[in-house]
Formats: sequence, C-alpha cells, structure tokens
Amino acid sequence: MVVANTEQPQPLDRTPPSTTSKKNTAILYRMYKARWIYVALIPSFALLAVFKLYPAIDAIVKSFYFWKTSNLALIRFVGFDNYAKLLGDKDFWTSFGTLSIFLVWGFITTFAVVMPVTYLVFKLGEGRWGKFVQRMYVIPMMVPAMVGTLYWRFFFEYNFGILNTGLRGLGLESLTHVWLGEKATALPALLFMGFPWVGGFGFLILLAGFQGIDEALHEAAQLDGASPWQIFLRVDVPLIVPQARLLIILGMISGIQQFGTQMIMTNGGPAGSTTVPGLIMYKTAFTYSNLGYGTTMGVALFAIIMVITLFLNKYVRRMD
Amino acid sequence: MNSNASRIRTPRAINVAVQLILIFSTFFPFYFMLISSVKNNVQISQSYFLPVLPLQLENYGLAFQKVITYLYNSTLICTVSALGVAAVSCLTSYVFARFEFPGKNGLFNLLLAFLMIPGVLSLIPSFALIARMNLTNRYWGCILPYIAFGQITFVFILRTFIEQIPRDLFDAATIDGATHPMVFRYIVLPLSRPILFSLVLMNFLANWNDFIWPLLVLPREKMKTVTVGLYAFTDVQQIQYGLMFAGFVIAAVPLILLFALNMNAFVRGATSGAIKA
Repeated sequence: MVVANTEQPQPLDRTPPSTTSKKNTAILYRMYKARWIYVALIPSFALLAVFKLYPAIDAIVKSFYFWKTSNLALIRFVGFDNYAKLLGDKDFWTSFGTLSIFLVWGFITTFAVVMPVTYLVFKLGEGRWGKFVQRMYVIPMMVPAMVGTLYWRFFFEYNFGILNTGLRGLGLESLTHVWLGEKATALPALLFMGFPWVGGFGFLILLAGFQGIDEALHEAAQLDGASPWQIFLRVDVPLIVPQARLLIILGMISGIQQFGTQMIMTNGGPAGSTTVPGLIMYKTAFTYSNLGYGTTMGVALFAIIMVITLFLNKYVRRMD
Repeated sequence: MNSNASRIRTPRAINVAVQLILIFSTFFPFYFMLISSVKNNVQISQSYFLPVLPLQLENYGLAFQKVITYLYNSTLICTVSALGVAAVSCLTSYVFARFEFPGKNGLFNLLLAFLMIPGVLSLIPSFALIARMNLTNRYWGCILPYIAFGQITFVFILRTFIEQIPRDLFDAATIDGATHPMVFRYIVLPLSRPILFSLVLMNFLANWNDFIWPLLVLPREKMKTVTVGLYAFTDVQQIQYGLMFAGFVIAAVPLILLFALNMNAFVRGATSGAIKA
C-alpha cells in the first residue's frame, strides 16, 4: 500500500474569505491532493458499509414488510402492520420485566459483591499473595464461555446434577427440584449462575481503578485518623466512579441484547418465565421463520437502547 | 502498603482466607469437570465428588475425535479474523493518526458511530445478507463480519497510541528519506507491538466465544465452531457424562494455554478500552 506524500494542511487563511466558490475550489483541491488517503480508508469503510450499515438500514426497511424465511421470496409491504402487532404483543413486553431482573441483578452482584472483593484484592497489594489472588480471578476468563454455561446447566440437572446430588447426599431429597424446569426455580437458578461472580471484566476494570488511586490520599486519610472502613467509603469509592460508570453503561447496553445464556439454559421457559426480548426476537425470526416481524422487534429494541444510552449519557456520565 | 499491612496482621489474614474461599468456589467447576472427565457413568454415581480409579482415559480419545473439527474451525476463523482486523486497523489508524485531510474528524466520528448500531438491530438482515451472498456454511460468512465490526475499537485505541509517539521520530525518519510503509514498519510497528498484541488477543477471545452468529451461519456439522459444537455435543451425548466433560476440557485447553502464556498482554488488552472511555 503506497500512500502518496501528502503535506501537512495548508494554513486555511491562504484563501481569504472572499467568495464561497473560491473556498470550494480550495477544499476540492485539498481533497484531490489527499486522494490516496481516501483510498487507504476504503477497506475499513467498505467492510462497515456492507456488513453493518446496509443490514441496519435494511432492518428498518424490512420492519415494514411481511417476510417469511421458508421462502426468501415471500415478502410484501404491509406498512405499520408489524408495529401494530408488536404494540399488542404481551409476551414481548412482559419479557422486559424479566430482562430488568437480570439487569438489576447484574448491577447488584457487580457493586455489592465484585467491588468489595476487588477492593480486598487491591488491599493485598502486589506481593506474592496479591499477585496470586489476582491471577486466580483472571484465569477463569480464559475458559470458553460455552463451557462455563454448560457446566451450570449440568449443575442444575435433575438426575445427575451437582445441586441435587449434593442435596441427596445430605439427606435432603425433599429439597430437590427440576431447577431449570419449574416456574418458581428457573429464574433464581439462572441468577445464581456464575457464583461467586468475582472475576472477569468487572474485576479487571475495578482493580485497575483502585490501583490508579494516589497512595498519598490513603496516607493522608490515615493520618487524619480515618478507619479502614471510612477510607473505603470516603476515599476509594468516590474515586472509582468513572470505572463504575463505565460498567453501568456497558452492562446496560450489552445486557439488553444478551440472550445466549437464556437460550442455552432454558430456551426461555418454563412458560416464558426466563425469556428476554432478544430471545423472543431470535425465535420469531429463526424458529418461526417470521423475519419481518422479528426485524420489527429488533428496531424496537434499537430504539429502546438509543433512549437508554442518551439517558445514561445525560445523567450517569455526570454522576460526580 | 507493605509496612501498613504488617502492622495490622489479623485483617490481612482474614482477607486472604476470604479470597481463598472465593477462589475455591470459582475453581470448583474446573475440578469437577476434570475428575468427571475420566469417569464412566457408574463411577460418577458411586464417587461423585472425588476422583476415582481406574481412569477412563478413552473418554479423551473419543471426545477428541469429535471436538477436533470444532477446534480446527474456531482456530481458523479466529486467527484469520484477528489478522484481518489487525491489517485493516493498522492502515486506518495510521492514516487517521498521521495525516490531515478534509473530512478527517467527520470520517472518524462516522467510524465510531458504527458502535451505536446494536447487534440486535442488524442480526436478522445480516443473516439474510450472508445467505444471499452464498456465504452460509463458509468460513468467510463469519470472518468478514468479524473483521468489519472488530476494527472499530481497534482503530480507536491504536490511533491514540500512534498519535502519542513523539513527532521527532517521524520527522527524523522522513528527513532520512523513509517512505510511509517504512515508517510504519520500522517505527510504528516495533513501538506498538505490545498494544497490538493485546488487541489481537482480545479480538481472538471475543470471536472464539461468539455463539449466536456461528450458530446461524455455520450450521453444518463439519463447519461448527467450538461454542456451537459443544452446545450440540451435549444434546447427543447426554448419557455419557464423562465423555461430555472430556470434550469440555479439550475445548478449553488451547485457549487457556494461549492466554496463560500471555497473561499480562491479556490483562492490558481487557482494560485498554476502559482507560479512554
């Protein structure tokens, strides 16, 4: 790839602010001089245009169509029919309740479990124990996520599963359940997955945050007679707000879209008790072959994600 | 830090104890999968939580025959994708970091704006597109979208990195008559190797763990990736749990090796996006 030598930009003032046509020629001239730069950017933008922009536009267009897969040609414009149907789709909207339980639970584990434990790891310092503990929490991130999920599916399995076998071993046969198949236990089981939740991305981000705090602040607080507990609440917690904010924003945006775990563990059941909007969209499109209606759900989710992102940017970004 | 810690010994001992309990809970699944992978079903029911002899090592042989195809597919897809992302991103980052041209900021913001398009919006039309391009059950059906989307954060981080390289280095090279490919090869590449390597690792891991997209695009048995293969594997092999766990272990080993050998690069990569956010 040869990129022609391009000079640094000419001072803009060289073209006096006289007529617009002169200015336009100057810009065109500069663009002409930079033509090889634009050529160099083609690979990036062409890939994005084909595999990201086009499908996104197509999604909005197809949300106005009746479109079934079994036969890709079966497609016809139906105006707002899909949207009208979606507004009355009780399953879709009630699944937002389940989704919010997953999201809220994610934040509870992050800030009530992962954050305090990460702080304790930080307090161990960078010595032998500290390094060892840090590494132990990072290693599980390297195991394929699917292996972890399938382990938990086995954990809750009725006949051979770890939970029921453990209960039977303790003589608590009466407490055994078809954990993933009973309406009362399926959702709590999914929330328990991943116990004790420490590790992963949140751990790394928060640890980096604590490590970035100036040690002098701790010493000053200590000299002023602050207890370790006070130091944690008054010094460290306020200073990792940027990291917490990042975890909230990323957790929200990725959490709304995530449905793989539910699909693998329960496929949304029993009786829709663990289903989330993304999974309903997936099934509508790929199990029931209703691509048009599925796309409409995707557009609705997109709109909701946009609103939440704007809201978070407005309020959470200025939390400090 | 250390002087403080030695002054208050008891809290530190409690802290270590808490961590050890949590680490035990975190690693219990791996212990369980390892010991169960060398048992048959009778041995599992007789000695559930403890290792037992004789070891059923043939589980590994049988599981390997199945999993090897998935491992091959995932390795191929993730390697080509990571190299492709690196190539495209290096070019684009270098251009954005080192040149001034009309529309530079607009184009860069446009690139970042693609991050705002969520996967749920484009999933169904993307699949239809891949089907129309005849890329289902072909590696490119995964690789091309992975490159397209993986490059955004890559460019974002790498551009900032290249911009931070002292100007003098570039000026000196230019005076000595170095062309841009030479500047890239002899200045940018050596200096950015650590961050580049971290970004490649993170990209590799993200694609390795992807589930929904390969499930849709590569459904044929011979084309399945590790995630999709294991998902189907457990349905067929319900009865032989030892075999199932042996498959899990084999599927996990390459990734653990890759990352355990590059632990620091991995941690740097995982946190690199956050610094700028």
